Amino acid sequence: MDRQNSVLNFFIKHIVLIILVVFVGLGGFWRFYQLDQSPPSLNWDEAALGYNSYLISHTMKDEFGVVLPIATRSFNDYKATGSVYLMIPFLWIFGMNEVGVRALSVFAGTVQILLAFFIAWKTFHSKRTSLMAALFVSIAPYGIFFSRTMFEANVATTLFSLGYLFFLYWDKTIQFLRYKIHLFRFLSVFFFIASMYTYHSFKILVPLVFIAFVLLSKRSLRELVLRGKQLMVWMVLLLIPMGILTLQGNSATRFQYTNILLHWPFSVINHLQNIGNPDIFSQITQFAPIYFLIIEVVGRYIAHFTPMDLFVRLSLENPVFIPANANLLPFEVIFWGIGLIALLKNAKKYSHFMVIVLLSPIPAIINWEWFYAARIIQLFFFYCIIMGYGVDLATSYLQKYYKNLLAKRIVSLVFVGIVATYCIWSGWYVFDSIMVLMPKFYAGNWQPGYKETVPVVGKLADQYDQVIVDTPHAEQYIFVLFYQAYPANKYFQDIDFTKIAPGQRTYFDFGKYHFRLIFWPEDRKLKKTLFLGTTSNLPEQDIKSQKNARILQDSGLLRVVSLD
Amino acid sequence: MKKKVLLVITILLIAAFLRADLWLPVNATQALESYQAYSILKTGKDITGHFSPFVILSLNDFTSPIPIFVRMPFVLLFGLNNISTYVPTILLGIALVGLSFFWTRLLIDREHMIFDEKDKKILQFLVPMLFAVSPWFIFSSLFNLSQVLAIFLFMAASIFWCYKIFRYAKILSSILFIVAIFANVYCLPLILGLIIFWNDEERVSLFRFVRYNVTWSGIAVAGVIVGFIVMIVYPTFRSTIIKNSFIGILEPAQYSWMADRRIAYDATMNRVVTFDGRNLNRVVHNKYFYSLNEYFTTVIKQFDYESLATPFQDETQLDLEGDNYIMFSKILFFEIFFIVGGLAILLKRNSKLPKLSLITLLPLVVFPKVSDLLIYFFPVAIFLEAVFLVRLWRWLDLKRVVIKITFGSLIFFWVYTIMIFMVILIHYPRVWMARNDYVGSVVWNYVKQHQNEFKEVTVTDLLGDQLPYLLYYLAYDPSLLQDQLQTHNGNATQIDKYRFASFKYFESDRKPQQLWIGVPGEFAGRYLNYDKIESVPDGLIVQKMSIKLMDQFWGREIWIVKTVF
Repeated sequence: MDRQNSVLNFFIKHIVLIILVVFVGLGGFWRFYQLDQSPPSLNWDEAALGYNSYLISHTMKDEFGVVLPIATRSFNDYKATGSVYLMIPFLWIFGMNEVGVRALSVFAGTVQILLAFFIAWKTFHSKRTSLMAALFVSIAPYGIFFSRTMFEANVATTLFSLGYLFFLYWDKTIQFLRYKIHLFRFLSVFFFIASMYTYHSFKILVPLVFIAFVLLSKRSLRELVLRGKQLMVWMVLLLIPMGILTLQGNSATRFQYTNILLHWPFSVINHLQNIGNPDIFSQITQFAPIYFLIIEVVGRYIAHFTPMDLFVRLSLENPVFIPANANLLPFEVIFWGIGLIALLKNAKKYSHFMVIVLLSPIPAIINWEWFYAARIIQLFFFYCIIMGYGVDLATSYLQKYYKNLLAKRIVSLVFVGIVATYCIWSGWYVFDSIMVLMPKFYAGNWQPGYKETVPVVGKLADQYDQVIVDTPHAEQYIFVLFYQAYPANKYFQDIDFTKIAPGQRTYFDFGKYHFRLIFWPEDRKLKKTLFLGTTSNLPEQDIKSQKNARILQDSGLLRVVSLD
Repeated sequence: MKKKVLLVITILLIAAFLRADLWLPVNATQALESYQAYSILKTGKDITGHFSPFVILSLNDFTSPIPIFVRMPFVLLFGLNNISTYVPTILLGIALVGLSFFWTRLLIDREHMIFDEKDKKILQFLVPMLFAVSPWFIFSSLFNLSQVLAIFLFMAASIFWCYKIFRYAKILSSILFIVAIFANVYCLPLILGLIIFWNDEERVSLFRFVRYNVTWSGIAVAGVIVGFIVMIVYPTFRSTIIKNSFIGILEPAQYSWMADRRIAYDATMNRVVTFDGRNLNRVVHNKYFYSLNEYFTTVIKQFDYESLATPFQDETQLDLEGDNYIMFSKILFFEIFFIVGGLAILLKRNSKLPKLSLITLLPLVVFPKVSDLLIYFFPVAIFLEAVFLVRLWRWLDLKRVVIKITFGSLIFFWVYTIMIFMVILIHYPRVWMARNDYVGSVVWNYVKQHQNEFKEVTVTDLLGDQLPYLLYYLAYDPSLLQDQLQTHNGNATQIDKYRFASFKYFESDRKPQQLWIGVPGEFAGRYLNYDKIESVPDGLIVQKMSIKLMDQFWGREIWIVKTVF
């Protein structure tokens, strides 16, 4: 009996912790279960991050021979390398495969559930809000999807959120020997800046957040600098590599290809020209591209606060497409609305939180896409906390109708219980959509076929004079490197960096591997050659009709063919 | 005083100027309402051959009676044409702007602690001005009589309810509320919500409410009884109301296709997570989950910034989804900031207006499938917008030159945006109008001019129901309607020499003096390059008109072909 009571007491005493563990466990399960099955294969960005991480762990160089890079050229998108370094232990543990590459993102995504709890706890001082915030992050379609794929943005969001969590403990000191250290300030700045090294959007967001936080503090800038000399030194030290990168001019390369001005000059004439005589309109609007630019920018900003875009519309771009789900779940709109209105009412009290929410879309709105989920994962994360706050407020509102404390508790238990049940139900639905629909119907979004065919090519390559890999795009070479874990030293021996020109890359060859389009009527004349190409470029009938040609592997989309 | 009167007249003139567009094509609802008025005037019956003061029936739908009664004197005066169709709506739209002076006064008085005298003075004129230039109200004042009428009546009723202007003001208010419901039945939740929740006291019991509002309660009970009788007597009315309400959405037919899709793909049977041989994934595939999801999705669809406020952006989600046409902007794209700003100001001051905002969203919550019900929120939204602008004005202190320039730029920006809006409205109806409305106007105006030349006219039904346009544009004799009209499953198939059906022209029995109207695929077969086709067998293509959003394999045009032998 005593034993039973002690178990019960433990349960009651640690109920919040137990519930949190359940939410984290569920979230972790949804993120990690059969990670190599869905998404069904790695996309080229994941493969690039994985292989660069492998190279750096062995040689401290990226695929272009840059020692300890803070941005790797990759497909000329100059990926931030924060996640490349963080991925190294996961590759050691799980190996060079989907799980090894994605495990970092799963870990980051699962940590976000905990972070939501603690940020909500520190901001709103409510267990109910904190637990519900954790649950909303746990079930969120964006959370499950972006954790199951290796998106730098997801890792950066975790780092950014860590930065914000430590910022909430800004004034807390830790006693070390006889010194009082403001450890959390240093950690906050460290993690904020670490997010900048992990995903491009944060290079814009973090400075904006810093500026806003300085403006919100009641002290003058001079006073802040004088009082926080050590912190400033710390910050400058952390930002030096970023400064060097900026001076080299590489950090803005990606932005050149994605900025909003790609649509310039803005006009509506394009829309109208097929419909009728645009003369009247052109007279009014032809000199007003700036006016239309303003509309575009404002529209993009508001889209990030539009329920339709957040809760209903599916992402249309392949890499961020979640089957059957928007980035957040439709029913959450109620709590999102309540929470947002309450925050608006108490904007001063929650000013730092509001600042992050209001500034988060800015890196996204200066890009050409109208709404691109990967650029605003941190916004979704903070929205989940707002929803938690919304549930808390709704519960408090219902409790107001009851004077009896027990009745109040029952109301809270019933209401929150219903919401939480529905949440878990929805989480399962999201999980089901990703696990069932994605590999079955949207496998094409994930560059399938290399996982099955490249290892075969890798084993046989030594027996042939050359390997020709069909290359309709510039990214196929990375799969060849990744899926056979092409040895790091051999890679640097085999590749000729002098042939890789700056700017658009057209030369990908290394060792026996040649990357170009396969044209079978010509290529069939070659000898002792191995081909890896699409089934359309390596037609089955033609190959079978040729005596010295054999199909060694067929994944349905890609084919390995030997020519003796 | 003279200055004030001048200002009022100026605002009303601006409202009239922005609304005076009588030559635009009419939409299906306008066509049907006007024709119903015409039919009742001529025969005393609606197009189904019945008459009831509570509900006017069409083939498989119903129309609220009040808009038709409002149209009747104009049809009597001007005949069945654009003038009689547009004049009542436009007049009501202008009257709505006039009424907004009193509406503003009402809101200010209820929030008198929040605003000082200077605020009140500015708000008094700024709100009507915003009413006058609001794209959504301009649009409604042209095309949606029932909605503008309901808003007008609910605003008027609210004013009479709160101010005892004369002895029977409250009774008049009650009657106006009920008339508003008969003008647009979907505003019922708003009116109920307004009466129950928007009172001075924090909480009021139903008993107390009835005790102090005996007259109104009597009228309300009478209204409910009449409503029930109408629901019982008219199954079309009942089924339409239920279909459009949240109950309709919760019906399995609305969402079962999603589950069917997964089952058809064998997706639910694919055991992703199994426990004791049971597929745990099936937990989520049940009607409760799907129906709730569907309900929230439908409600959220009304809050789409892109279709509400972005008339012409490239690469918007709407654009990418393939709805590649210009939506008609209902809110100017920057107004959202002002509305939210106003809401924030009033929330901080513990105003009751945010509560009113929520009440105005009730129709949308109860009838999520009916489009444009968000408009009931707009009289409040405009007030919120004005509050923000006034506070900004006061806060910035207009004496400074920089601020004057800022406000000057804002006004310029505003005027420029409205100018673009008006240009699209007037010169590009084909862009923003529903496809069928625009096609209807072109097709039936052509038929009207040449109707005596043809013995048989076949019009495709691929674009939707053509009957309202035929009746309206040809001013078809209502006394012949019952005898001539043939229907199938509630859809018109033939009337007189006019046939509504999809056809294969090349396989049809072609005769002299026939007119065929359809999409290119119906004339030449599907999957062809229709730009290169200039002729059809035994026929002459007299007109080609590009249309939006048609299946590319049917062709994105409408062809009018007359047979030539």
